[in-house]
Amino acid sequence: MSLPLPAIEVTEMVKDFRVYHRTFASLKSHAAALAKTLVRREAHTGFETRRALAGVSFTVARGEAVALVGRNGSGKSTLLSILSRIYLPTSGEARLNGRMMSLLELGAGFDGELTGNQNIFFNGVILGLSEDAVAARYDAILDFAELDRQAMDLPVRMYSSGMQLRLGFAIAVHLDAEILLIDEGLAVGDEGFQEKCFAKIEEFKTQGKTILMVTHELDHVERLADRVLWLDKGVLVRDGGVAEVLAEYRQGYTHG
Amino acid sequence: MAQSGTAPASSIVIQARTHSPGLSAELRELWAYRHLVRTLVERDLRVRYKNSVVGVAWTMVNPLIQVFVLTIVFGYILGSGPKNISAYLFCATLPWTFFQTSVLDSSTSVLVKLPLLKKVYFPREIPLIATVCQNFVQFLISLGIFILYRWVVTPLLYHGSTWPPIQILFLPILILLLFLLTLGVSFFVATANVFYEDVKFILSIVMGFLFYLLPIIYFAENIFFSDSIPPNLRWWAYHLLLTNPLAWLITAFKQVFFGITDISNVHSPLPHHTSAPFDWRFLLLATFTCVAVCLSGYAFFNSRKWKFTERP
Repeated sequence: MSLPLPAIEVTEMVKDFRVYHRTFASLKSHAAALAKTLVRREAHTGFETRRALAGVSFTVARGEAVALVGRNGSGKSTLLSILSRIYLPTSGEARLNGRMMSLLELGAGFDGELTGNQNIFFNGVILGLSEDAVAARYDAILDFAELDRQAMDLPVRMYSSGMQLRLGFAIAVHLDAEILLIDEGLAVGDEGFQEKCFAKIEEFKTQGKTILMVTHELDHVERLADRVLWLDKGVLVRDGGVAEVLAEYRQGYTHG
Repeated sequence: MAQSGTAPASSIVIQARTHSPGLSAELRELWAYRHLVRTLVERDLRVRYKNSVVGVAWTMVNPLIQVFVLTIVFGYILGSGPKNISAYLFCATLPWTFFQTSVLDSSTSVLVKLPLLKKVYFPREIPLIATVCQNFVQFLISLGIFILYRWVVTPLLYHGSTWPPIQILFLPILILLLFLLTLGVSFFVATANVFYEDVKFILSIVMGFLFYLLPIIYFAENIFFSDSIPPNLRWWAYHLLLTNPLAWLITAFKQVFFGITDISNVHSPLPHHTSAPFDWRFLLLATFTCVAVCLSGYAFFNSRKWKFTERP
C-alpha cells in the first residue's frame, strides 16, 4: 500500500482580482473608455489589479481540522472560494482528494417559494446528489434540524433566519462529504444548537473527515482545530500548532 | 475506502484555465448534474403557475391570442392571405414563440443566479439549460395540442384529409434542430448579458424585427412569387431567406403539417401559387447551421463562464 494522499494540496496559489473604476457594466461605459483611450493616447484599461493571494502553499492531511485566521482582506475567504470552485486561481494549483462540500453561506441554495421539504431536495441536488440519495438522508436531516414537521410544508420565506440556518446546516452535514470547507458558518442559531454543531464537527473528526474553516472566533479555533494557518495580505505567515500560532496572532492583533 | 497513491474518482483539480478542458469533459460534468436540471425545470414550472387558477393552460393563452389577432388583421381587415390562415399562423407561431421566449428568458437566466453561483458550485450553464428546457416543455405541450387540432378536431368537424403528409416523419428532426439552435443562441446572449446588461434591451428590439423578417405571417414562397421583387432577384431572395435556419424551420413546420397547399390570397384571380415541397437540401444546410451555432455558443459560454463571478 502506497502513501495515502493528503486531502487538500495547495501549491503556489495566486489570485488577482480586477478592481474596476466603474461600478456597472454597459456598452456605453465601454465605448466611453475606448474613446478616452483614442483621444488622450494613453492606455486606459478601466481597472487595477489587486493581488488577493500571493503564492500560498500548504497541505492538509486526511482527518485533520485546520483553521484559517487573519484580518479582514487577508485572502482567507478568497482561498476558500477558490477551493469551493467559485473562482479560478490566476496561477497555481489545488487538489481536493475526496468528496468536497463547502459551506460558504448556510442556506444559500434555498428558494423562498418552495417548502422546507422541497428545499431539502433542491439543496441536495444543487450539491450534486440525486433525489434518491437525498431521500435516504431525509429523516436524519429533520431529526438534526429539530424543526417542527408541520413547518416543513411551509414556504421557506416564512421561516425565521434561525430556522433557515438550522435547516441549512442540517442538510450540509448530512451529505457525506469527506472534505468540509466552512466559512464563518459556526455561529449558528441558539446556544443549544451551536453546541450540537460543534459535537457534529468533532464527530466528523473522529470519522477521519477533513475540515478547513475560516473564522474570527478564536475560541472556536481552540476547540476544534488541530492546526492553524495565518494569512496576512495574501501570504501565509505562520503554519503550526494551535497554541503557538494563536499566541503570536493575538499578540500581533493587540500591537498591530 | 481505498487508500492508494492514485487520485480517487472524486478528486478535484483546480488550476488556472490556460486552455479549455474540452467539450467531452464539460459535457461529462454537465451529465453529473442532470438531476439539477430536472429539479430546476420542475420547480420553475411549479412556481410559475402556482398561484394561478388555470395553471399550465396559460402556456396556450399567449399564442392563441396572437393567432386570433393576426387572423383578424390579415384574414378580415386586410382581406389578404390564403384560406385557413389561422392554422398556418398557429403552426408558424409555435416554433417562433419557443425561440423568442427561450432566448429572452435565458438572457437573464445566468445573471439572476449569480448570487447563488457565488455561494455554491454547480456548472454555470445549468440555469440557462433549465430555462430553455422549461420553455421546451411548454412548446411540446402546445405542439401536442396543435397536432390534436390538425389531425383529430379538424377532420371530425370538416371531414378534411385525415392523413398527414409523409414528411411529418421529419418533425422530430425539426424539433431537435430548433432546440439546438435556440440553445446555441441562448448561450451567446446569456454570456453577453452577464457583462453588458444592454443586451437584453437590444434583444427585445431584434425580436420585434425578426418577427417580420421570418416567414411567420407570410410564406417564404410569397417572396418567390412576389411581383414587387425584380424577377432575376426572386430566386436569390427566396434562397437567402431560407439559409437562415430559423426561417427554414418555420417554413418546414408548415410543410410537414400541411404538405403542398395553396398560398395565394383567397380573392386573387387564378392561377394560384402553391407552397414548395419539403426540400432536403435545406434540411442538410439547417442541420449544419444549427449544430454549428449550438457548439460555438457553448464554446463561447465556456470560454467566459469562469469570469461570471468576477464581473465588475
